[in-house]
Amino acid sequence: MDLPKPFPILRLPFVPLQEVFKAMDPFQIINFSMISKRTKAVTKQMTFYSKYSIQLIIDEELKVSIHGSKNMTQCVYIFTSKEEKGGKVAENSRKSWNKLIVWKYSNNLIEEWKQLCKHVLEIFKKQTIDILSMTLDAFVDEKVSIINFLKTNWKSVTDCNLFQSEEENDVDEHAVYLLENIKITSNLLFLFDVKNDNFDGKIPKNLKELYLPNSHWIGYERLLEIDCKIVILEKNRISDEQWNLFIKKWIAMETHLNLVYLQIIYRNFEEFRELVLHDIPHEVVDGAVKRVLKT
Amino acid sequence: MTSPASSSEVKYLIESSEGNTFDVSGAALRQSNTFNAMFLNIGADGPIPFTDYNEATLKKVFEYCEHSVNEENYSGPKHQDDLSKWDLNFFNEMDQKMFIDVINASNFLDIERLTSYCCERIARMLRGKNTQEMIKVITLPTAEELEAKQKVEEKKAAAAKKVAEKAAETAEKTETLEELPVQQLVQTTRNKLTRKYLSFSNE
Repeated sequence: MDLPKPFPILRLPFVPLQEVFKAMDPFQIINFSMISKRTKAVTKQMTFYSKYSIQLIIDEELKVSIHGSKNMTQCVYIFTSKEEKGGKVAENSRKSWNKLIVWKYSNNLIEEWKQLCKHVLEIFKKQTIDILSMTLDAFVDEKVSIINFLKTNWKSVTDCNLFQSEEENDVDEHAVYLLENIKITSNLLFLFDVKNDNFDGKIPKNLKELYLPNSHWIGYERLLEIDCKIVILEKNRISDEQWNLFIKKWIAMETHLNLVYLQIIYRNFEEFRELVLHDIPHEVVDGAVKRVLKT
Repeated sequence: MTSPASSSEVKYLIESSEGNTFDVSGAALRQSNTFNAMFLNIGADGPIPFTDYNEATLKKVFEYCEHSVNEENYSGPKHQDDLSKWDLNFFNEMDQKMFIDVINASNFLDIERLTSYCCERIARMLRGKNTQEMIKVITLPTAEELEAKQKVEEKKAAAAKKVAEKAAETAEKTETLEELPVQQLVQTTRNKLTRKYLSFSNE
């Protein structure tokens, strides 16, 4: 049976209808929801969407990505201003992994991207953006508007990755604005170059991981403000004495009670032992310094 | 036909909407979770009334069950490309009306494998289509149809209640089982059936 006639899909009872939805990829689900108010309402009634995570990407292009669990299709919408790319579809399949990409042409990229973001998050009943990846020097004139849009429509962002495309661009102001207005709850990656040593972006509390490769602006006072489980700093303005003091306080559990892993880059390991760890009991394991708690 | 035993040799009588009866093996019937919940342990006193479905539909459904008796336990949906030649023939023989009836009956009987294969077939029909293309391959119900659907579902709920009552009646007659677990079983089945017939009437 090839189902040649139009199929009355909404006449199915709820359970089979939900089975049909489970067999659809996210593109199908979203396209189906856009047919009418009724299909949208039916689509929203499905109860299995928690397995999907949503990623919003603001790069040179604007993207919305919907990931399922293992063996499920990942679908990515890319908004493009290049008319020739509009409607293009690409599929990338491997053994247990399948990725579908659809390019959508628009002469009003931001607005259409916003509309799709709202629709997707409404359909999949997400109050949180699972991953937000933002290139801070892309769509600069719209950056504040985009951040306000995210703030207005979602409670929080689980993982936030901040980039910049051109190293010489100063994106501090937008980074500060984002950190001030978006609640980040798990991972924060600063993959852009902070220009100002007095960068006063608010570092969220209770993060799982904070990754600051360009952390030359982190001084002792800022270090004391950080409250995360995993902290990775590659540069800093903290003196040897301050590191020594900090590590002693950490061992004595006088500060950073949530911190379980600290990674820093020091110019020379032996120097670090000599200048920072000279009066701190420690042992060397695999060339790295690890905190050893002794009772 | 009564039998509390679980031997695959046991046959059960099924009653269709036309009032006709035909027999189905216990092994085939056990693929129905609805049957398992209602009759497997306590047996059926007389024909099992699946009177919301016609004979042709029920025979088609149990044809599938009989065929898949010896297949390994169901472990989630299989890709359509992995379906056997027999499976493909089974689906290809059906017209659309029969296909919908089979889905409905399979849903009522809670035969996961058959429901899942049917549903994946529908999803496949929509694969790779944008919103405009989807409109061409599906029909959306009118207001009158929605009203009619609601009535049908109410009727189905009443039929489900009747089946549950039959199960309860049979349970009462079964002296070998303790009273409390049977009542719980019947209540669970009723709840399950009620859930199955939730409609979209609030939209």
